[in-house]
Amino acid sequence: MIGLSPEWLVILMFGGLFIGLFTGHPLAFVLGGLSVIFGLIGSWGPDIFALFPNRIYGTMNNYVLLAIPLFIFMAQFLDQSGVTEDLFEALRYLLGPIRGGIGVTVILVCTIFAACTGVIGASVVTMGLLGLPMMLKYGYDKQMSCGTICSGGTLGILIPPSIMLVVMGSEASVSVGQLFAGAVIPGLVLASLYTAYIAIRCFKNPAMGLPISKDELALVTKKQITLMVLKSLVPPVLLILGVLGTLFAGIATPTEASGGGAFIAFLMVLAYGKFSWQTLVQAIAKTARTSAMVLVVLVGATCFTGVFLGNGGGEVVTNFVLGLGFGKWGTFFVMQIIVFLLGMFIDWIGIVLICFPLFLPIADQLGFDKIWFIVIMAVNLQASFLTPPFGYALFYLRGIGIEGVETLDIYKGIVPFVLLMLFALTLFVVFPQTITWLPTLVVK
Amino acid sequence: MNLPMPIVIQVCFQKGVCMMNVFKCIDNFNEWVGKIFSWAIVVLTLLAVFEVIKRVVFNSPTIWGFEVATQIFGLYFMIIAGYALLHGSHVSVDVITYYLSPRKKAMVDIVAYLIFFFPFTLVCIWHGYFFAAKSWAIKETSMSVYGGPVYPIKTIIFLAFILLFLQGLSEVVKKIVFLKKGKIS
Repeated sequence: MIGLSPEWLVILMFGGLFIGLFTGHPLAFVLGGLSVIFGLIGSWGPDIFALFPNRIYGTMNNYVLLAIPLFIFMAQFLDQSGVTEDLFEALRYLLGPIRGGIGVTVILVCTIFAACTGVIGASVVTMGLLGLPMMLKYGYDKQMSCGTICSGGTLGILIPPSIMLVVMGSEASVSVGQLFAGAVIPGLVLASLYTAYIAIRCFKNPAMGLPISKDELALVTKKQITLMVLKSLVPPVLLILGVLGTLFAGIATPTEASGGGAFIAFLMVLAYGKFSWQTLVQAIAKTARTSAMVLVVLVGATCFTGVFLGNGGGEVVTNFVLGLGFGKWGTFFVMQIIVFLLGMFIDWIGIVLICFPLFLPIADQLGFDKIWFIVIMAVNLQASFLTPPFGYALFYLRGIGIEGVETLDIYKGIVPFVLLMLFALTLFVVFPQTITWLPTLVVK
Repeated sequence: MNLPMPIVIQVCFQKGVCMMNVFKCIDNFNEWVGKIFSWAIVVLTLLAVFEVIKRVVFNSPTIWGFEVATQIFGLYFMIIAGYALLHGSHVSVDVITYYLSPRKKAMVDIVAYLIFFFPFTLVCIWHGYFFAAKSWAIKETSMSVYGGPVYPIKTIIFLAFILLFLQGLSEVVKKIVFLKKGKIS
């Protein structure tokens, strides 16, 4: 028992976290391993290990978190129903005659599916495969096309239902329904900003975003297009209304709404004629792996924060940040910058689980509205998918391997979108009603 | 958990028991645990739908729905952690290791397992055992109206970490074999 001082504990634990992460070891076990090392040498001593099963049981015995595997299950079914592909085709014909129509279609489809699934990855891959070749064919700038798909796909973690907001709600002990309500307007504002940006760039440069060719449009009649739009748009919209509607009206808990959503999405697979035993087994296996991936990080993190807070790390960080003397908004700014910078290296799960126990008490002391503060963090965390060197959306898009698209195109392409996101973040800070208004209308 | 056992033993005997096959057994066992318990998601979905219908349509919520669903959830994601490790599903950061040669990456992986993975899983097995034993000793029940038993679910931490630990051993052995033979066995 060395009895490490809390100050050194903070420095070494975060240093160890970065070293551990760069070995490529799973985040869950890096966090867990550090909690054992620092549990041994921290001032409390190894008795702290007796807390681990208690904290892990707290994660297992958490009804709110149950929404996570259910939303993932729902996303798997939606993916299998093929409705994304159908909707993309339908909207492409509908908006095709407009300049920049395909770019706008990508953002629209992403927004609708963000409201359906709450898991990114799926939409980046699907839209990358469907949208990217189309955008390149119609003369869109390569970089802008990549940026569109990455940023559009990333909307999935912000627009409710979102598994990130479920984790945040559970960590911060606030109502998940309230958080969902708070994130609706910011999500739509971001989608509109992206759309406007694409449209403006296409109008300024006549060579970019050409309208759909007459030959291609001649293949389908107006009636066919209308039918396609109806067939692919109505079921997902009903699903969104079902899940968010029952939730906001207070009829169902987020967990029940997610279960209902998974059930409806399964019915959609049946209705679109995509059901087979094989696909069902596949959906179940994928759900299991993805859920374990998210939730086991929570297990490692709860041990990590247990050791960190138990040995006095929390007070050190709070005193340090408040002692900087930056005042209320200066401190807020510092916290957001830390989240943004961490987002370049760690994904949202790690950031939420490590930063929330440290930042929320500070935000509370400074008198920030809790729902507002968390949604601001959620908007900011979108950048963690987009910023190199480590951004999930970039990896997914690179993983598809579309011909003629280099990694550098993707990296350059996201820059304007990250700037738009930061602009939107400023808007939400200046006009906090954009976030706080909707939750007041929703049943608590 | 008894169900997949005979199959696994069968698989082991068919191939003749030697060191490598012990680890093959671990892989097979976790694969079966994963395959079986991943179906819990179907139960959870149906429970959620059932509960809403019961409450909204028939105006008579169950007293057990909430607790049973929560316990199945805890069982579900913990027991399949080893299965997820087998399939390499856990979140990790490959910024640097992406550029390493496969040999160097395997060496870094083994060191990381020794520093982070094994100490953590061992501590959780050790303390998980006492955590469960305490609950079994008093046949602990929940504080709710339903008052169902909680000692079985509390034992899952112990069991899940054993499965995870074994899977970690198997992963490390695969990497050592790779370093020695220069290919994945």
